[in-house]
Amino acid sequence: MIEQERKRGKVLIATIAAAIASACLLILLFSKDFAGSLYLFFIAPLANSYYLGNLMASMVPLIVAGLGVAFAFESRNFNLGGEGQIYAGALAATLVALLLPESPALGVQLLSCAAAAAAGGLIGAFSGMLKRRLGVDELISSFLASSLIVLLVDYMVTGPLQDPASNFQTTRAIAPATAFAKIFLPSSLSIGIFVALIVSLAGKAVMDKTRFGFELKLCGANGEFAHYAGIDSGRYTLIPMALSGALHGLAGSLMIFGSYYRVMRGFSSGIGWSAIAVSLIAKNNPLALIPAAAFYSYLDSGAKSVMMGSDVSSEIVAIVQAVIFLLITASRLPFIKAFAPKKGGSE
Amino acid sequence: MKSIVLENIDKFFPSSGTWANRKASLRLSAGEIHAVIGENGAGKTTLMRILAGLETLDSGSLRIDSLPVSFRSPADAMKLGIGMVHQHFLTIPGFSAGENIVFGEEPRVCGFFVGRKSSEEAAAAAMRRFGFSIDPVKAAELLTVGERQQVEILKLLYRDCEVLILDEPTSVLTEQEIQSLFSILRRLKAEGRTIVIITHKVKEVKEIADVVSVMREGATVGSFKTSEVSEFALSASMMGKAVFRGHRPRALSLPGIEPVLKFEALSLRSGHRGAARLENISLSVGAGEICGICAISGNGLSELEDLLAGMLKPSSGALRFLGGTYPRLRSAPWKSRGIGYVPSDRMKRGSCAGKTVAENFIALDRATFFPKGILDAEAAKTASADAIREFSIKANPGNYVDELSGGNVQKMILARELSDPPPRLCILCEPTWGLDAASTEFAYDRILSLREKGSAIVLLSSDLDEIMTLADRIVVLHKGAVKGVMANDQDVTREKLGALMLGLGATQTLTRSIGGSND
Repeated sequence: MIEQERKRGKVLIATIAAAIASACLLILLFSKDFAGSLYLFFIAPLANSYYLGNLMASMVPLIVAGLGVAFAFESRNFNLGGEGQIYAGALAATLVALLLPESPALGVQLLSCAAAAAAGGLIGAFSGMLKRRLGVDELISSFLASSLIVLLVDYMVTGPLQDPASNFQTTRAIAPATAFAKIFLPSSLSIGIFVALIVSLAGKAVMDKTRFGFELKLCGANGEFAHYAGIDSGRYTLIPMALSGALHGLAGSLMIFGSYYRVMRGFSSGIGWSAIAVSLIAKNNPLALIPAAAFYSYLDSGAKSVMMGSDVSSEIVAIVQAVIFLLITASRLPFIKAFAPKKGGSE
Repeated sequence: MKSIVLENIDKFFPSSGTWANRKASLRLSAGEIHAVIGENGAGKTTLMRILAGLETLDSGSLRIDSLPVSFRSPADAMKLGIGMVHQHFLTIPGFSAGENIVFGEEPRVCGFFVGRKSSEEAAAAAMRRFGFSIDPVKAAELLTVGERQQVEILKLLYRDCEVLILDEPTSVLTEQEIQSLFSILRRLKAEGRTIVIITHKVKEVKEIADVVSVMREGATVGSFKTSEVSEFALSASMMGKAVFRGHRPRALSLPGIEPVLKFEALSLRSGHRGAARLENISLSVGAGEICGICAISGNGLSELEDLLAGMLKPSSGALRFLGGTYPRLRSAPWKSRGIGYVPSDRMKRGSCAGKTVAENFIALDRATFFPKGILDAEAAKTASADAIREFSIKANPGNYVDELSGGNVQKMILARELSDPPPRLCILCEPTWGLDAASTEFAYDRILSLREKGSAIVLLSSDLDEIMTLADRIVVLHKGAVKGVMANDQDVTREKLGALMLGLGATQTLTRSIGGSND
């Protein structure tokens, strides 16, 4: 087991090295000023407080949504609906905040985050329920539900909730007083980062120290053994999916209160997918989500910095991200394969 | 190739802190069947994995025809004609038998392309050459266990292996399959190949091997010509100081007590395969009684296990526990209801491989170890450390189950299921399958002491020696129906039981009452 761990560690380092190397290669291919672009990619994200703060701000939803992915993975459920759950959570949070403009900030924030978690949680629970009652593959149903939700939210944002004063496809902004306090000006880093850190600590405690976490992980590790031990595996399909959705929803609300203040069409731009990558790097360990999110955000902001500061086009950013995602997925293939449907597995 | 010599091999596993091999030596000659025998954890498999290039040795030497060699990978060993068939077969589902055989060494079409058809033809040619008859087109997942083993052997022959190492080749086979395996091995020997079989079954050594090397605690303690050594001497050599006690005296169980477990005209009509699986079984098991139920595989034993485990519901009739309804498995932790259950599938149902010994130990009794829903880590560690000591399991609470040998995993399950307070009912399914003599002895002691404490014990086993050693009463199933019920006395013989299991002879019922009544 220890040897396996060591081997996995090596694989992870190799993956990270390959991700960085492929980013370098792409820059070398597409940039006339290789050294300058390299600086923009690797150094600039850390060079001043604005970039560094924004990098840390972008870790917030990755950690929280990553925890959502991890809870589903650990119970051997696959939540591919993160994107829609984040989007729905963000809309729910914004709606609550818009409806309570005069209330105390903390109250608005708590209520909005609760609404966001509820929205995401309901969507996740829907897939969990389908799997439990009808045996519908949660991977497919969560993905399809998410696609539907994204369209619904798009309709709300561009239709009934469109900000009449704006030329963009966006809702009205929440009251500035209700937004999270900034802690690292001029960047957008807010106290949301503390929320994320607390959530990941809490996630660690739940996973490792509680009966709920123990039973959840047993169901994920060996369904037959869990059944033999008297654990209701159906429960651990429904609850982890709901919890996963709730954490994704919460991630959406943290984005609103920390950085965006309004739901713009398509603003979550792949956070749900990135969270899967982050959780895979972290091997579902809630504490490891923090460095994993930092690494992912670092590469992401490096890519954006190159895009803005040099002649490298925006497609390169997407390609770099795709390469990283591909490498990470490949390195975790044995784990992902464990999700392949088994014969006669469920009751 | 004339000879292979392994000398003074040392191998240390830092993860478990154990010396798997300590000054182990072995000499193989061409054209012999060489048995490597020893208890679980004696280091047989590790030594052979070193020979097959799957492990590297820490110190010692490996010489082939007097030339020193060192293997860095199985491919190195394969180049010199040494290959291994693992205990758990490595056939790839979704590929045909033929594709599995030639996998990695496929015939190339135009020097590049690999085709299903050409692969299967090449495999078929190999089968003709070596006298096997498996359908090369058949999908690997549809092969029987015996056929999958033959595919594994063919893989090695296809690669021109001269030395074939088989790890516990008979443990998963039926009697007929064992015989056909042995005839294959004899044929390969006649062709001049060297066969090594790793086993702990003394009887088979006498039957098939020419030479036998005994391992104990990582070292080789002796090498004998099989014809010159007795089964008893081999057992003694394997076990070292332990004493082989053989059959033990049996106390009559207590009559006239309300049965703990009662089968009431139990039938199971549509199993997974849609056929009638169990027919009208009526039986009672009383406190302080061991009721041994035996059958040839496929005759209802595993269905009976699933019913007793609460994983299947009878299609008619009922199970009663202490006069009331039988608890469903998932309704509450069984331990608190007084039922201990040792499943026959110990790796999948009985334990969870990716978790630690402590986690496996507390898995059934979560209410105790998670007071108010929060883990009491100290209690979990103490309880599992106590169990490890009491059952002399070679592990730490923090070891992962997949680091343990099969015997130790089973001891861990026994510790969890049979620890005090003694359960009112124990369901034991193949409790010593694959265990070495010392562990078996240990398990028998526990089971008999539970009987003394008044537990009702249902022993499902396909091992007749086990049934005859432990049971007070023997029930034979054939085609899902009770074929015979008898007191386990002098009249019971292996032949008699064997005939009943095969469905021969008239249905026998118990004439005099012992233990709970027989309905």
